[in-house]
Amino acid sequence: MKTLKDLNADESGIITGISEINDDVLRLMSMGLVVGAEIKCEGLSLGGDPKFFSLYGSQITARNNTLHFFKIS
Amino acid sequence: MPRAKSVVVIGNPNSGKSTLFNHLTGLNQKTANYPGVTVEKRSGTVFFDNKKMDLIDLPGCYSIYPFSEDERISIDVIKGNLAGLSSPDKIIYVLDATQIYQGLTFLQQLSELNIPVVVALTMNDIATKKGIKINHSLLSNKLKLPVIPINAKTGSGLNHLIETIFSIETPAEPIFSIDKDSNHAEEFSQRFAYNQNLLRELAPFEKSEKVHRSYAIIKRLVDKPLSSTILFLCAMFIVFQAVFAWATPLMDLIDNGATALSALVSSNLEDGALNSFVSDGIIAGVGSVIIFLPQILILFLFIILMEDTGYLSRAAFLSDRLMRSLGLSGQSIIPLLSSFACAVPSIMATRVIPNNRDRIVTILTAPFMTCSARLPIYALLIGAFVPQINYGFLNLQGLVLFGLYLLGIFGGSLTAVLLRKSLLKGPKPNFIQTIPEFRVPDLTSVLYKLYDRAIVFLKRAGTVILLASIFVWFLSYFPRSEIIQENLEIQLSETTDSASREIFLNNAAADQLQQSWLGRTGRTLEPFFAPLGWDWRVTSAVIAGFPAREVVVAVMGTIYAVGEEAENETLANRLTNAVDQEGNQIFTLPMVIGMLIFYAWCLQCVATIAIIRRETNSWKWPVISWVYMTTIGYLGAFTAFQVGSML
Repeated sequence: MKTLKDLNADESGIITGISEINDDVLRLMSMGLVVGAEIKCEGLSLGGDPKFFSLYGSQITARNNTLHFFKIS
Repeated sequence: MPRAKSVVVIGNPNSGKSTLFNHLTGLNQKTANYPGVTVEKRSGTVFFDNKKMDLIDLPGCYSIYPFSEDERISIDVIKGNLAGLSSPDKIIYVLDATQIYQGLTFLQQLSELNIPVVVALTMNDIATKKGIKINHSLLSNKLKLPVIPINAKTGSGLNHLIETIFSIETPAEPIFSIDKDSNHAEEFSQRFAYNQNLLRELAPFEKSEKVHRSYAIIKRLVDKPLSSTILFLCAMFIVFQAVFAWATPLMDLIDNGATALSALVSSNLEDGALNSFVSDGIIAGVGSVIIFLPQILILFLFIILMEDTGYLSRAAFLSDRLMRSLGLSGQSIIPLLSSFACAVPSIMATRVIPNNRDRIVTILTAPFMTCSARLPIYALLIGAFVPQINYGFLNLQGLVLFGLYLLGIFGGSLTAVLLRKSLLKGPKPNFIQTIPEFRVPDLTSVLYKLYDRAIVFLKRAGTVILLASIFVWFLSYFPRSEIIQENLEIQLSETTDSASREIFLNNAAADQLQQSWLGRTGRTLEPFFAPLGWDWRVTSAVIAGFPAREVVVAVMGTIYAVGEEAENETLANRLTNAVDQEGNQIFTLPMVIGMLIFYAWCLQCVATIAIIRRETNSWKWPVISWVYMTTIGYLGAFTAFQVGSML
C-alpha cells in the first residue's frame, strides 16, 4: 500500500485512508489531510525528509514517520 | 458611557492577522500579558463614528483544538476561559484567499459559538498571482457571513471592514452541522469534506489565470532543496555581515551621545557620589547596553523580513534534517536564529513549539548562541590579543570571531543532545507546519514590529540593566577610602600638567575600586579563579558582569584605570601590559583563549534567567541552566589555560 511517504517531488495522490490516529496525525488532519483530499508533493528537503506538499493551495511540511500513516492512491 | 465592545482578530497562522491588526489600530496598541499567564497580549483600539472598539490580536490556530501554548491561549480567550477576561463580543476572522480550504474549518467551528463573525479575506493579490480567483459574494452566501476582501497594504476594504464590524450584532449561524458523536478525527474529515465541496462550487482554481512568471521563478528557486539551501546560506551570510557592518555608524552615534551626556552631567554636578552615580552608574551602565540597539534592530529587521516574506518557515523546513540530529525539529531554528540578537525574545519565540519537552530543550540551548552582548567582550579581547593578519581575503581576527560563534553553536548543540539523552528524554519531536506563500512584506507592519522590539529592548535596558548597573556601581564605589582621596588631592595640587593629573585620577580610581566591596569580593574569590589565570581584577570584572555580561567591559575599563571602552586602544594596550604582583603577564594567550571560551558558554544575563523562569514557570530550569553553563564555561577556560600554559 502506497503512503504519502512514498510520494516523490511533483507526484500527486488522493488520500484513501489513515492507518493510525495519533496527535501528529490529528494535527495534519486539522490542516486538511483527510480522506478524499488531493495532495501533491512539491519538494523534499536534502535527504528526502521532511517533505513539502500542496493541498488546495495550502502548503504543508511533515516528516516521513508521520506521513506513512496516510494511505494514498 | 457604554463599555467598548471587544473584538478578536483570529485566523490560521500567517494569514495576515497581525498586518491587519497593525493597520486597524496604528499606534493605538499595547503589549501586556494575559492575566495569570505569561503569554503576551497585543491589544489596541479602533474608533469609528464616535464609537470605540477594543481589538485583540490572537496567535493563529487551525482549529478549536489547540496543539501549542499559543493556540491554547487563543482558544481560551475566544471561549472566555481566561480569568478576568470575558469571551469577545465579535470576531474578525482573517481568511487567506490562497488557503481557503485550510482556513474554512476553523471558521466553521467559530460560527458555532453564537458570536458575530466578519470574514476579512486577505492575500488577494497573491491569490491572483497564483491564478486563484475567489467569488467573495458567492463565498459570503455559502458561509452566511459577511466576507470583505481587503488589502492592508493599500488600505482597500479596510473602511468597509471597520463599518461592518461596528454594525454587526447578529451572531453567526453554524456554517455546517457535524454529527454530535464525532471524535476529533471524524469531525475534521466531515468539515474538510464540506470544504472540498465548497471549493468545487467556488471553483477558484478552474477560473485561474496564468500563474505570474516571476512568482513561478521564485517558487522554483526556493522549493528545490539545493538552490534553497544555497539561498538560505547566502541569506545568513548577508544577515551577519549587515549586523556587523551596518550597525557601526549608529553604534558610534549612540556611544558618542552617551559619552557627551555623561560628560555634561559630570561637569555640571559636584565631584562625589552623586556625580559618579549618575555619570558612571546610570548613563555609562545603561548606555553600554543601548549601544547594541542598532545591531539588534538590524538583526530583527532581517528576521521580520524573512518571517513576513514566508522565508523563515522554509528555513525551518530546510534545517529540520540538521536539527533532528540534535533531537530537535526545524521549528527550533527560528528561536535559535533570533538568539544571535538576544536570547530574551528568542526564548519567547519558543512558544510556537507544540511539545513542552522540545520547547524546554530549545529554551536551554538558546543562551549558547552568540548574542550581541558578547560582542564587546570579544571585540576587546580579539582586538588586543589576536594579530591583524590577512590570509587572502580572510582576516585572522574575523576568523577567531567566527570561531567563537561556532563555539557557541557547538555548546548549544551538545547541550541539546545531552538534554535529550538525560533530563528531557522522550520521543523524537515531530515537524509539522504550514509554509506560507511567498509575498512582499508590508512596510508598515514591518516597522510596527520593529518598533515593538525596540520598545521591549529599551524597557529591558530601563529596568533590569538599570538596576544591575546601579548595583554594580554601588559595589564598586563603596566604601570610599579617605586616605586615597586625600593623597589624590595632594597629587593634584602639585601639578597642572593635564596628562599627569589624568594618571593620578585614574590611579586613584583604580585604588578606590581595589578596596571597594567589588574589589574585596574579587580578592576573596581570586583563589577560585586563579586556575583560569585570572587575578582579582579580572575576577571582579567577571563578577560585576554576572547580571549582564556587557557590563564587564565597562568594569574592566574602570579596574584597569583608563575609563575607556573596548574599541579604545588604550584599554587593549593596558590589558596587554597588565602584570600581577610578581610581574607576570596576566593576559597571556592561554588565559585570553580561556576567557573567550568562558564568555562563549557562560550564562551571564539576569534578563535571560528571568525569561527562562517565566517561560518554564519554574525555578528549576533557570537554576540548572545557570549552574550548567557556568560550570562548562569554567571548565572550558580552565582547560584552555592549563593546557595552553603547558605548551
